[in-house]
Amino acid sequence: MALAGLAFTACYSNGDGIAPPLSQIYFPVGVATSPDQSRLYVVSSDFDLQYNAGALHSLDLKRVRQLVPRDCDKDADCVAGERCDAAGDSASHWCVAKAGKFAGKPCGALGERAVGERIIVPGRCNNVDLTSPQMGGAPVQVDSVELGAFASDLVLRQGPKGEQRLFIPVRGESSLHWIDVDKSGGLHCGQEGSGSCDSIHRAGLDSSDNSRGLRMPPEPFGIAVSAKAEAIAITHQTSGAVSLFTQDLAHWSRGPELEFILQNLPLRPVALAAVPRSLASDLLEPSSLQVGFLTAYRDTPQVDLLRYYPDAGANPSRPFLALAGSAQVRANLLDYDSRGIAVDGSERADCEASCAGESGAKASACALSCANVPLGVFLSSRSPASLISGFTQPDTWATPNRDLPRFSDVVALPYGPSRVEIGKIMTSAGKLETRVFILCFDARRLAVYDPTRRLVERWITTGRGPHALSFDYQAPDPSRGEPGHALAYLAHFTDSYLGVLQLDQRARRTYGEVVLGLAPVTAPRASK
Amino acid sequence: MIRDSLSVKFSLTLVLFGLAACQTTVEPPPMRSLANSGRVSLLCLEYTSQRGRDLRACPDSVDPLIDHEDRRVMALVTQSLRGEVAVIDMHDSRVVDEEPALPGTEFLPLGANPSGIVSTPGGSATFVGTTEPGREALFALPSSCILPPAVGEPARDLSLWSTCRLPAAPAELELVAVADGGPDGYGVGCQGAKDKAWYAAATMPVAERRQDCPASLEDEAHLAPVGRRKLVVTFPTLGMVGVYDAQALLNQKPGTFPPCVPDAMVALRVTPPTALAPQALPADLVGSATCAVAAPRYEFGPAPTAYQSRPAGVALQGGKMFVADLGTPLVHVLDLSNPCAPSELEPLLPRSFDEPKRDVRTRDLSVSEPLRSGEQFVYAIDDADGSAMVFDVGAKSSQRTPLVRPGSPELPFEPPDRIRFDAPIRDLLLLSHDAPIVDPNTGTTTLGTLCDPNPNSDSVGSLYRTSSDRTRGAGPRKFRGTFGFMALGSGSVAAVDIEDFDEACRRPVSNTTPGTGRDWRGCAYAPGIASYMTDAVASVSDEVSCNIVQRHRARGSMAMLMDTGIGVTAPNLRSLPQLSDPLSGDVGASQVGPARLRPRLLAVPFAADGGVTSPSQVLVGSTAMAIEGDLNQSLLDVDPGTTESHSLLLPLGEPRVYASQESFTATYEGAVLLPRSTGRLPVVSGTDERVGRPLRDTELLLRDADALFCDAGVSDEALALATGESMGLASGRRRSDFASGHADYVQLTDKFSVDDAYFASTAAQAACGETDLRGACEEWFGTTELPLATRDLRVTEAYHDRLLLEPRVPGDEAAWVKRVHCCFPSVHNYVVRGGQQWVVRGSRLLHDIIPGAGVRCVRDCSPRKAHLKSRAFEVTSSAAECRKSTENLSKLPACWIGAQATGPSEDGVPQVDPCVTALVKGAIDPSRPSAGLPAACVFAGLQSRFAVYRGLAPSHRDMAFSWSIAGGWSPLSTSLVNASVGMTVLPEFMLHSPQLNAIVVVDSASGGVSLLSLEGLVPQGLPFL
Repeated sequence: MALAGLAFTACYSNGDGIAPPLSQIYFPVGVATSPDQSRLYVVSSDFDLQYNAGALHSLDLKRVRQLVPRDCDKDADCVAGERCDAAGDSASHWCVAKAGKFAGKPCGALGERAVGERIIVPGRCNNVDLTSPQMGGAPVQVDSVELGAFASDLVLRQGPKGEQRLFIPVRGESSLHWIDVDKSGGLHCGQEGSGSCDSIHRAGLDSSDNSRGLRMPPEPFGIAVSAKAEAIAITHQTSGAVSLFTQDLAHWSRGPELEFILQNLPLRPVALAAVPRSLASDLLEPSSLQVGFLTAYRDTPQVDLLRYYPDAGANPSRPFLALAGSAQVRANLLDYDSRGIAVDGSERADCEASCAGESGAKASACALSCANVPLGVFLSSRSPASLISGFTQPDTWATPNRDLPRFSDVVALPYGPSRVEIGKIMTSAGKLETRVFILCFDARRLAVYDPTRRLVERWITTGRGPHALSFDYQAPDPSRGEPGHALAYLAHFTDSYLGVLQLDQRARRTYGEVVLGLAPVTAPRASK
Repeated sequence: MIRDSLSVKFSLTLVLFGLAACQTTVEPPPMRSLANSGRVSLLCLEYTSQRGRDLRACPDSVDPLIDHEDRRVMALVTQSLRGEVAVIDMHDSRVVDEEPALPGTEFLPLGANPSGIVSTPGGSATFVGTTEPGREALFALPSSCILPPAVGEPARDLSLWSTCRLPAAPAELELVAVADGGPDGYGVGCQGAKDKAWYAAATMPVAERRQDCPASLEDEAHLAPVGRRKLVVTFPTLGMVGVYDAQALLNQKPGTFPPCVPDAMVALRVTPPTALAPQALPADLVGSATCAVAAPRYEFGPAPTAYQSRPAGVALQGGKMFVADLGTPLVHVLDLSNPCAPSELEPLLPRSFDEPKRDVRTRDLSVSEPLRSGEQFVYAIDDADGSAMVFDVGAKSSQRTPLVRPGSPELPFEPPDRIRFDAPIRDLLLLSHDAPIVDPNTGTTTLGTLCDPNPNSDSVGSLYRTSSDRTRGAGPRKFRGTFGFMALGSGSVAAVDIEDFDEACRRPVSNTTPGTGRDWRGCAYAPGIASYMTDAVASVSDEVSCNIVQRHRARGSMAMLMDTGIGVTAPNLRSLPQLSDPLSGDVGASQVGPARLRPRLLAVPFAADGGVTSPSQVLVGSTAMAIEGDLNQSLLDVDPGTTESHSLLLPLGEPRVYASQESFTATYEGAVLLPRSTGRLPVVSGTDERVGRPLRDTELLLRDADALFCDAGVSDEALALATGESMGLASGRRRSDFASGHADYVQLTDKFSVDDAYFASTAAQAACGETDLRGACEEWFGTTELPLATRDLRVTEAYHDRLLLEPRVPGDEAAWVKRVHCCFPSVHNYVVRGGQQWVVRGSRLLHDIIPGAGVRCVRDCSPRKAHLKSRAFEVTSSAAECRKSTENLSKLPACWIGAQATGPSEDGVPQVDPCVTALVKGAIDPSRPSAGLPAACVFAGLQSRFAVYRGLAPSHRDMAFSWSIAGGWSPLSTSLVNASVGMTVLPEFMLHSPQLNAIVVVDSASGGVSLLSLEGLVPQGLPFL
């Protein structure tokens, strides 16, 4: 509560105070995996104002994967120089060194965490130091940069030429930071000299940047970015407003600009998700190419569909967001206090993938048919704690846009559900399958929900303050000798570290568990 | 760190304690031990010996001192989050602590994520499936070890249970029996077990079995289902159902984890029939299937090339197991009469009447016992919308598709083949229940006695009538018959009528007159009965409608009574309608002064239907008002020439059509589509894909993809023309004038902002030829506060995502189109209004317009839409007297109905009135068709019946009648919310316990287990927590 109070009264200034330790994750609030799964980006929020800024970290995921313990049943499952630790009551069933200083030790140089501590910080081994891994070798962290305090989330999108850009709402100064990423994971936001992002990379601060004279409202929170990044929506958690930033795709280097603030929505919009772009969108007339966002509220039981209008016909064009429709949430008792929303377009994407072999009219027909595959919509609610699920009802023959969901089921969750993410796990048969992941901040649980079987498949006990989640999976490719993997990176807000979750059911002893920790566990000052 | 945290908590506790100490009474918070409960099963346990007993022998009605038995119903509840099973002693009303020496309440530990649970009928053991990935298993819990261990007994930990490994995650568990137990009376049962170890376990002699937690199922083999117990297990990821020997599992050595060896595995079918037979339609929907524009509305993507069965909920009845499927559009029917060789019968075929192209998947189901008629029903939950569909699986039924109910035209908000509530159905349960009354003549009771409403009869059935004080007998909370119970996501359990033995006794006391049809209360003539009231004693409930109870529809929560003495619980007008005029405020229906200039909204008596007539009446608050007849009621004057008040009637043939409370307006040229802000008026070059031709220079195109114009009920000129034709307008000129005058129109509502850079741009000024473009726009179109008629654009063609428009004012239309483009260049605000008619709107606009071919808005010819109305045309007079000047208010003409329009109105839009009478006053009388008014001149909607009579002055935009209806339908439901759990409720699972005469409800949010008594569907005490 005290921390929350601080957050409301503070504002970002990196001129005074102690600079954040860029080698340390500090109250992480957002994680994102690069499309090629080579990098993980983590944003530290500096939530308790111990430092004068937040930070963004770029981590080497290949290095991380090397550090993840490998399950085994027998020695033959391990590589040369290792054996399977399968004997005894405390057998880890991990591959361990046969010889040397850490022979037979499941955690090697990391050392084992005390059993009592594992109640608060799950995982057998101590966490890896990001810049000087205990076992030696290359650092895990590739780069870092300072940014404004109180970031709230992180989204990565690729530009027209494959450029990678990170978008970060920052509550401390009410801005949208945008940071470019080079191929080696280096971060660029004009930080040369000062070490922190320059004003160009902090959009929304200058009212002269747009034709409406707008300044970003306070308390930006949730962010959603369209697939091509032409539209960026940000909720404002203390008012009924959603900001619209636009990114000129023809001039990618210019960065996003604040263009519009949609007002008079129900109070406290928090949850926000972009509606996945359909392959058929490219086949429909240009005026039908409407980007959509679904937003949900803490105070009102409804999900709204917001449409992005580029206003291309006007001169000057002034893009805006409009409320296109509302769906009442009537799935649980009170239906409000929605904290997270996610849209699952995987079934539609699978259908569209099947169109790849078609061409011409057949390809168009295939894409249009696939556009009618409903999208899954998942909403976390705290009244009571539950996951509400439903589907959109596409209607492409009548109109290209019908992205409002109707909710059809509800599942109880432990206390404090917050964000909802769509990801994949690897089945015991080596097949990637979609799952819905619901973070329960208060209860320290991560629910793994199987949307096809309509049940929570696994309750993962996390450390304190599970807050953000990103995925790292790859299907097996026998032709390349690639066994495939499925991991997730869970940002623990309260103790400022990342947990690496095993999501490969082939690792049947560790599936759904924290198998590695990244960055030292740092308890908040109040509890020290 | 932890110490500090504890210190803070301790301090906080002290503070709270200190605060609490100031109170006179301290209520300790309820102790909770259950959390994230999933499923429950019941068994009967002889408490002292800890041996199972026949569930029917519980609860123990005999003193233990007499029969030396202390039989108790025990509930075993899965704990999803903790991977445990909790035991509740229903006799002591407590959650059993399995390890009292430890703090808190301990349960029976199992593998993670328990799914299904089932106990044997004799209470010997309970079986649980667990779904932890990589450790999927079946656990056997002998009843001898479900209570806390006595001294010397083993601890209730994971190693205590016999268990075996399953090939995949199990979902549901059911128990069946092989009647032929084999040569030794309780042998293997199935001869197919090839695995030696498993076979040895199955045939293990009693003496060799574990003695620490004994369980011998042969002891209860004589109980139904008679024979050797077999577990039926569904595997969603495999698409299979397996049969396992229960005793073999019980005989596994604890601490081992051998594979479970099935007696049989059935791969569920995955291929739906290629040609689906159409759903059988009731008489009132015949024609909907052949209706030309009733083509399937929604697509759902390409059909899968292959399905994968994902069995979900199951229901067992009479040797058949019905299996819901989340992967295929099938409900499987397994013949388990011989569990050793289960076979799949022809499946049921879930589908949707409204969305025939959707693959309907089901997630749970329940099956009823056979009804008196021989019918038997399966209810299944449609996974896509959380509604329930009904299958008749009775011996006489050949239908395999969901039942389509009659009465849908009167209930347009609920799909004809679905039972739908506000919140999704989480679980459902069909059960039969009776509360028989002793026959005073014979001293016997008979189950299934129908209530007899005949006032001349004194049969046993007459004992079930509603008592005069309504505390006994037929009523909403009296459950006699077969009912469905639905656990809803909203935290309540609702009831559905299937076969109510008391149905005949719930109706009005008045019989109707002979005829073949039904009257406005939905009542048909009952021969031989003058009235259901004899000597001031009613033989029926005297509710307002004959459709209070309907099969497969939600049961009502209250008796719908017009009895002003007891209380009005039927649909009623809160007050008579009021007219408001945006120019002059509220206006009454007085016969003097300016009020006579205004229109009147007046009730029209119900029409004769099939020869049946009935006096028309309506409740206004607690006052019953009738148009004619009954001297006990206030009379409604519905003649515009004499009445002093506006009025209307409420049809009661289908009481469910009324929400518990709803407000209505009838607005002249009111909004059909509420204001929107995302319209665009692009300059269209070339052929528009919808219109199919280039636009003329007099036309505009409004595009708004999310507006869904057809769904909103927008009516263009063609639809207006069709309306005119249906009202008898035959000649060409009048028809086209009618269409252009009564088509909907778009009103542009943007203001021309001084801050808008567009108006200052030289490009725009040059293109429009105006240096002060903004000023010119205000001059041409007016302001938002004082809009000119030039902002109104008639809808000539309506499509789902765009409207073709023309300026509504006559003149140089092409010039006005250019001006519109100049002044409304970007995205803008607008509203769509009905042209020269009254738009009636409650919580929504009821209409029959849908997108047809080319997504053009067309009228749906389905009979289901026949009663959806939202437009009312004024009744006008052709009498010369009515055309006289009305300028002198003190000398108004001797006419009480406004004059028929005879030419262009002031704004130039031609008018044609379809409802013209030669009279100067007098109410519409539906029994006198000679009055010459088309039937459509009476607004006969689902929730109101009236006509609007034009006043002596023309009506104008946004004049509005308003009224509210209270006392509408509300489904009978009982909330799980209570003082112990607050609002944290989410029912997960239900079980019928005849022994407890209750429904056992598991609440996954609070974790609690509640009992709902079948004597009124009310909670039995507080939930077990």
